[in-house]
Amino acid sequence: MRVNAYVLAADPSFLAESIRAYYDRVARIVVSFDRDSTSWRGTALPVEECLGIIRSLDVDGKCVFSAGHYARGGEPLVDETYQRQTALDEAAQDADWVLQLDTDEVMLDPGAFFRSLQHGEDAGAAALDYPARWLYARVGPGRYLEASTRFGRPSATYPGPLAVRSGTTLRFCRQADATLYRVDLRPWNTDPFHPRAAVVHEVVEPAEAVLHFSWVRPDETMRRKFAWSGHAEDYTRPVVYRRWVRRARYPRTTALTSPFRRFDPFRLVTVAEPPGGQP
Amino acid sequence: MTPGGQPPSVTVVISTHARPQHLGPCLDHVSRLHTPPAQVIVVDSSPDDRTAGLVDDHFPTVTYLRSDVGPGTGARQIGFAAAVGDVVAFLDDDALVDPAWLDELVAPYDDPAVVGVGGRVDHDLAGERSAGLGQIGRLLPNGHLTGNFGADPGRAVVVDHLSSASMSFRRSDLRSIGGLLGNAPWSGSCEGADLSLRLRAAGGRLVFTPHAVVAQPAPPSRAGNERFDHRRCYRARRDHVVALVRAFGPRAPVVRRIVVTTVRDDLDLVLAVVRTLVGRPSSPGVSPTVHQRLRAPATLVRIGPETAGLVAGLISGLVAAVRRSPSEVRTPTAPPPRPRVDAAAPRRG
Repeated sequence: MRVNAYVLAADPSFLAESIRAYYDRVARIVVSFDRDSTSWRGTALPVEECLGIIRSLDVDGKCVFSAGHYARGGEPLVDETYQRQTALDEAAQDADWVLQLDTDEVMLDPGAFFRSLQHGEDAGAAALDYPARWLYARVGPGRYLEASTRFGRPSATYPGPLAVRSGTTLRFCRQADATLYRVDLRPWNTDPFHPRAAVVHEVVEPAEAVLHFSWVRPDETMRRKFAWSGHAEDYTRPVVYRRWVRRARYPRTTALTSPFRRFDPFRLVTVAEPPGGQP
Repeated sequence: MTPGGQPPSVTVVISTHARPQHLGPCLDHVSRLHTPPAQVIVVDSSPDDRTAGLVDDHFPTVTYLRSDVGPGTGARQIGFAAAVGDVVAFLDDDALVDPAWLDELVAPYDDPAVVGVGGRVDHDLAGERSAGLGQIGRLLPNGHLTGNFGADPGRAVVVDHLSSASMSFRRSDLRSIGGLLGNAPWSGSCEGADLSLRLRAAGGRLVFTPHAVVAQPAPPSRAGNERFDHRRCYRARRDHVVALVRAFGPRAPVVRRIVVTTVRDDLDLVLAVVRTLVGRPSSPGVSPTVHQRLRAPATLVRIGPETAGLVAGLISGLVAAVRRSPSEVRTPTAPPPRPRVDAAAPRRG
């Protein structure tokens, strides 16, 4: 089974850790970036910094740099889908599967991930839904606020299939209408955004999941991320930022009050550094 | 392939019970296979002579065996004991095989790790080719068994269990797990799951190939017959649990999980009924009608057979596990041929 990958070079945080985790296991990595260093929302991106990091870790010459014009001024998420599809098509050449991890998503156990990918291939699936643990804030050395159930159990999130078969057409961002092989953290669905009865094909330990350092950023970077992300419409409301600052400042209170909140439950966890650490 | 590089020889075992009108076309299709099997065995548990007459008159190369232990597992045991092929394929007596069925069924055995191969069962239902793709013959972590054997993934896929209607196993591997175990409560429909799960538990690899097709008309819908549905519900849950306990043992995590899953499903059912009763929309903008609200509690009746089936399955599984001894689980030798006027011994095809 030949596996390639694509990444979108836009965010230097955790970029090296993300690619290093699977670098030895893929044949080729397509690095897609906007040639004008502009985000889908028209703001500036630190593309050169990202490319520098990737060049420094590409010891086997597996990375293929692919520039394009992706800030087309349209709906940001549509532009994101277009860029992903372009990169996916390029990565799909000579490959059975293509990884599509964001650069702030780090495989904790690449062996477990590729084992599940093989199981998905055996089962006839065309896309692998692999659980990501969504980290909300770094509150101290090795200590993080992580999205969880209301009573502190680990909860998986699925930003989209993390691997798809070659020839897949993306419907929206990373989402695709393909036969899924779904891995979760328990035998029953743990993601509140999936139906309670959603099928789980395989279970992995939280230590084998993907860590998504989604909002693990310094204050300044967080404000910039709100501007460039395709989801900026949701993020830019002042209350979202103020809430993030408050919760990061009072993590114990945030975790202890989770059972009483209808949305956004979190738990305090310890994550090894690296892959964690100061972004 | 066999060690000599030849394709494995195949014995086809067909268990039947008083359905010569189905068995005739079934044998007719078997006789038209591109590659004929080394042996075809019909095990008959009918109370009359019609099946014996049919085989005798129209299919002289078929081996006819009589079962006095009823249809299902016992009959298949008898067929298995008389089989001589490297691979034993079991067919339902109303299954109509495609001419290429056997060739396609045997092809995956090229891989020595493969211990069993099943084929697609075409019920001629709308949308069945695409229903449940990715969930064909799976034992899910929550203990559920998925079917979807009518789906067509376009290529052979690895599965956890096979359909009883069209399944095959290496005879040596089947023998190594004790053959077909007789001490089961079911009458044959759960045989595929039982054999498959036991082989999987022993480390075997099972393959579903959509190119090996059998046509099997879907049974007439019995929706609305509440009594039948409840009985089926009870049996399905019981047989399912027994198969899990027999394959993995009573202390296996998957047995605990099916208990939890059943309780969760029942709680979800109660919550759904409560939601309907208070008039909460099932989907945006669609509120339940008065008729639906009045009828909603009736669905709770399902919890009874489900729970009873779960308890009965756990007890039966435990009993089966305790009774598992070589003297009881061995595959019985074929009984003497059924007395017939014009045949003194079973014929070999």
